[in-house]
Amino acid sequence: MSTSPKKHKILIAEDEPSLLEMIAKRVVDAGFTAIKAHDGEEAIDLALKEKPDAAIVDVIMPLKNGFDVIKELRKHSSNLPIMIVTNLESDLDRETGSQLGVKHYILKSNITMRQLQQQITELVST
Amino acid sequence: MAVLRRKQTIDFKEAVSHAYDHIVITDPDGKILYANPAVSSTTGFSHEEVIGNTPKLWGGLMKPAFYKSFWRTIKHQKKPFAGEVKNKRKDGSVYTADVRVSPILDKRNNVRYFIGIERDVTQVRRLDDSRNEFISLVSHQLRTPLSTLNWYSEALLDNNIGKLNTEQTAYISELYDATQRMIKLVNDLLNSTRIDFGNIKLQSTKIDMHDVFSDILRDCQVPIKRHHLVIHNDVKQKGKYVISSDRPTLYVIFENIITNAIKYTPSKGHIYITVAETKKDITVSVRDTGYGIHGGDKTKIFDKYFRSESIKKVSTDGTGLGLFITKAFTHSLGGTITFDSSGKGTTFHVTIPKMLKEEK
Repeated sequence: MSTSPKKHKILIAEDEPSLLEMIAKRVVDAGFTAIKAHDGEEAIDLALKEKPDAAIVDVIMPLKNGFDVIKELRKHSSNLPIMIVTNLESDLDRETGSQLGVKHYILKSNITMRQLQQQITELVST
Repeated sequence: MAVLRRKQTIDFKEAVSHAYDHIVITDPDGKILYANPAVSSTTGFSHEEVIGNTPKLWGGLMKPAFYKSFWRTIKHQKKPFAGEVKNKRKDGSVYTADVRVSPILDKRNNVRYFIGIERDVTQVRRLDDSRNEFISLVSHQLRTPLSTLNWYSEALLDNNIGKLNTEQTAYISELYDATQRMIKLVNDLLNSTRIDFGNIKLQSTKIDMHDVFSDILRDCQVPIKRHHLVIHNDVKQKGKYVISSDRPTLYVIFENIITNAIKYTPSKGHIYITVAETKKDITVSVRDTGYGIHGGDKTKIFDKYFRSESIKKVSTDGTGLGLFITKAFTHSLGGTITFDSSGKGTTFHVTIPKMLKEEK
């Protein structure tokens, strides 16, 4: 898989622990460092502290939803590559995501882990 | 029903005045000549306020283009109009009306009157909306544990957590398969709801047809192997057929057609995927050597919930939503879907524009 000279840091905001762990595993397998946030506020705190190179964000999360997290992230880094990984299939949400400059909007249940890992690598290389 | 004798007359005016639906009769310019009492109870305007006025009194909330097409239909084309319209009552509250307007023509084919019938369907729409919300919520809640099952069984099958023996692999494959079926079911339910509510929004992106088929076929490896099917995929070259369309919608269309071909082709059969193109369109044909579609089923296969009796004998798994969704999605991309099942097996042809027209 991808080998990068500098280990990129990827922020993952996901409130479901089993999914957070699995995404983090794939991020590490792809050769990156995973920064794990369990809710929207933790995601923002960690982003400010760790300055990630890319972010994977869920939409429905406690304390702050994914869109609010992305708006906050955009204030500090307008071109941070972001991908939404959610199970919320609404055309409106898809549109909101693209207005916020999100690279990919992915439905968790419809993607294999292998595909997700590819998307992560692609996300960081953009 | 009792037949009316000649001497018995019906007082039509009396009947109309007691109708539950709101009924107006206007002149060719829309000036209201008659309004039944239901008009006042729906709109809140008194009989005196309504007579001599036009239905604009409670209308005007739709976009100008809507009214333009409305008048074109009833006045120039002299055809009836039927549709849902947002109107406002005297107190300013908005209601949704199911509206039908028919022109009454004289001998010289000129409009004499318009008859307009309205029914307040606000409550019904509200119920629809909450059903829609409920389905979205349930689907979301179902998908979260399904994603866990999906990803964890996939990791095990990939020997990502350590090597499995043959029996363990077989067992986990069953789990993985069952999860996939549940995910498909949830997706079908959600997609059919989106179709019912007519809210399919499309976003155009560049799509390489090579990737579409290689992705779908890779996801179908398990059933393909299980049925010992031979796949002849014509789209081997990357970058040869690149179109601009809505990715999720396009994937659903071809996933459904390919998984049907796999499901309904007996062991050791063949599936052929071919592509042809014109300047504007691309046509994908998926041919199988399967059970075929017979007789009267041919007119019903795109109907919602339809499953043919002969297919139910082959497989009990299925909701009858797949082809209904496939057809609606193909239309939403501006395309067409046809099939041919005269000899052995079936061929589906899907034609879609290479450049999606996005509605704003």
